[in-house]
Amino acid sequence: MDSELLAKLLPPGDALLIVPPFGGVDRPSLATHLLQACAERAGFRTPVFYANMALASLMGDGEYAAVCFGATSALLGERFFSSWAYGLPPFGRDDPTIETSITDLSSNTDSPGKVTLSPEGFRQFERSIGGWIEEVAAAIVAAGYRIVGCSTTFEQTAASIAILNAVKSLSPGTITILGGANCEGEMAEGILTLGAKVDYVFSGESEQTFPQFLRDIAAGNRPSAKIIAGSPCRDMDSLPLPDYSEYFTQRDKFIPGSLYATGDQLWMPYEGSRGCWWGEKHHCTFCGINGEGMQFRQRSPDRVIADLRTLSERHGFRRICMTDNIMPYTYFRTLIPRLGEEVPGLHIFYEQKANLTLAQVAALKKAGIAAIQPGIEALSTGLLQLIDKGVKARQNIAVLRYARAVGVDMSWNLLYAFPGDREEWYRETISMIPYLRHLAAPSGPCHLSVDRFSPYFFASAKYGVENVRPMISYYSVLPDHADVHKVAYHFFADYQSGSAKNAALVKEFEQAVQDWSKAWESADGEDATIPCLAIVKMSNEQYILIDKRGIEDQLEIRFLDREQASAALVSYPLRMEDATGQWARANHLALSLDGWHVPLATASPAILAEFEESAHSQAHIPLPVVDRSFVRIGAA
Amino acid sequence: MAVRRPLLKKLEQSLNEDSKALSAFLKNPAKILKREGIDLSVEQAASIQSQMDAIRLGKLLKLLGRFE
Repeated sequence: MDSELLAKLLPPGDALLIVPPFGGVDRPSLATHLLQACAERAGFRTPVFYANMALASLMGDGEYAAVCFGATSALLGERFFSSWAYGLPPFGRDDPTIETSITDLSSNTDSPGKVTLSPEGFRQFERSIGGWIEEVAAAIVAAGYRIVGCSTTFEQTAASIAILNAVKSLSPGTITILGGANCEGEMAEGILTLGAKVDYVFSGESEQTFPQFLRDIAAGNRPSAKIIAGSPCRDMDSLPLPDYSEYFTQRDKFIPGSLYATGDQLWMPYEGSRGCWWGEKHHCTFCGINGEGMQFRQRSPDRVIADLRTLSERHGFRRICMTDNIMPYTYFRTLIPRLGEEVPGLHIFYEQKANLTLAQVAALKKAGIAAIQPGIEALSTGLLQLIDKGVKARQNIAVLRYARAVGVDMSWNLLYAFPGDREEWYRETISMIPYLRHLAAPSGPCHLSVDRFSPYFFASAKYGVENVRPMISYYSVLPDHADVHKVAYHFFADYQSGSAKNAALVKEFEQAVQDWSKAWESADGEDATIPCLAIVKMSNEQYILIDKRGIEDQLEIRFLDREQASAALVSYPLRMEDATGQWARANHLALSLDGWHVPLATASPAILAEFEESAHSQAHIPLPVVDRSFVRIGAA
Repeated sequence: MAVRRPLLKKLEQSLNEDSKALSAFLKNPAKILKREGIDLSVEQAASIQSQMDAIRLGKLLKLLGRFE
């Protein structure tokens, strides 16, 4: 480690906020820069130090990312620091899967960068981390901060504790603090059982408590309680705009030649809202992501527009990752119609509720929202109802079609092993997957994780969930004296599940999803084509259907009349006399699902809108109330 | 544009039986349709091509083009 460089990146301040490994280096830390901005407002200077980048610069892009985005069940990010934080054996203890996890790291092909370290290389790197911690701690102490803090989310706890312990050992008078999602609620008490040299743990939203803490320390009043509990911010517009300049400066210093040196792999985080407007009414049974802050709060559209303009101009960077767990629904009326015109050229990622209309997806695209993550999770209405998602399978299929038609990138998951689920729900999904190959493939399927703050965790008895216990790997990476149940976020449990008990079914499900993904991945290969099921209008009476889903014995080109095209494009409740609909379903251009005719084809947004509006007006079924001008994009 | 159904049926059959013909059709549908005697205005031809682009077949066509 270049000590001169470290010293330059640790400017004077009242407190230092550290982003520890293995936080992703592909984006600035919203949490630390937001606290920094709150502190600045209160008259305090709190530089942010990207220790994660410092380590990534030594480890390599691919290797760092492989650990950072590795399997949650392995807790690899904790393992690299567990011996240095808690005195455990390298990579933790008593876990027969450790060796496999290290070997898998070397052969990781999912990492955004190339992994060149051998398993032995990873082991040697882990041994070298102790020296790195000492260097970093010495530089921090030399800079003379009165307060040094780390933020921990996902797998950053052991690194935080190793760094803070080292700082405290060198400078016992330095006040050490820890905050972040891993300190929320009961988890803060768990952190205190780790035996770390951490003076204070900030629990929950800390935009008010952190500046107050700085004032108290400056006044010589050290809080008596070790846990400083925040409360949910009720006025999002009252929060200051973070300044990410230090991220870009440190990126250029630490990892100048990395794949993160240009903007293609980077995201700039921004939050429009906190909490979940759906979860306030219907908490999805598996979701713990909102922690104790389910209450929905949002920024005003004026504020969002002003902030996004400032951020993109200040940093010369236009890829925005909205950190909201769900986009405020009112934004369709307020923010979305303005955003594309008032802050043009943005490339935004935004999580959505899945029941979007074509007009809404088109409006998102026009606003610069180029990638979405709808909470799909399943393609069976029975399963979706079981987990209280508030959408039906046909709506999930529709949003996949709309995104493909409009050209919005989709990321989404399929899950299994829910308490009370039934095998037939997954069989239904497996049977329809070959006909959905032209739509964005999901990740997964992933086994359910019983997460803290989810109904399966806090109301387990209601769902027949018993023996809720921390994921086994926590025991491998935490010291004996830790209250593992309070530290953990992911849990195992015992419950009845049709899918979990049927290994053959799970394998079949995994294979079907894998084939789906491969159909898209191979589109980059020499002998492949992109899956497609799309309709092109020749005239008002004639249409071309292109079917490149790779279904055996399926015609790749069809010439359709308007009625046939409509059957491939428009949904409606199943009715008795429906010869054309039957033809479409028999030819796998539509499905019969939950008493509905569910079309599968896509078309240009304007053609799709024309068919939907025509069909709905004939059937006297109103379309959702959204400004129709949004869909006036693309070719007619 | 009024097209006799048998004409399209015949074209449909030939495209599904001949991958080279299919590739050429996906590249420029209007050209093939015209060649087969289907009357298209300039606007219709442009609209068809524009829709092909809008449904994101561009990459597909590029890939197909590699083998011609």
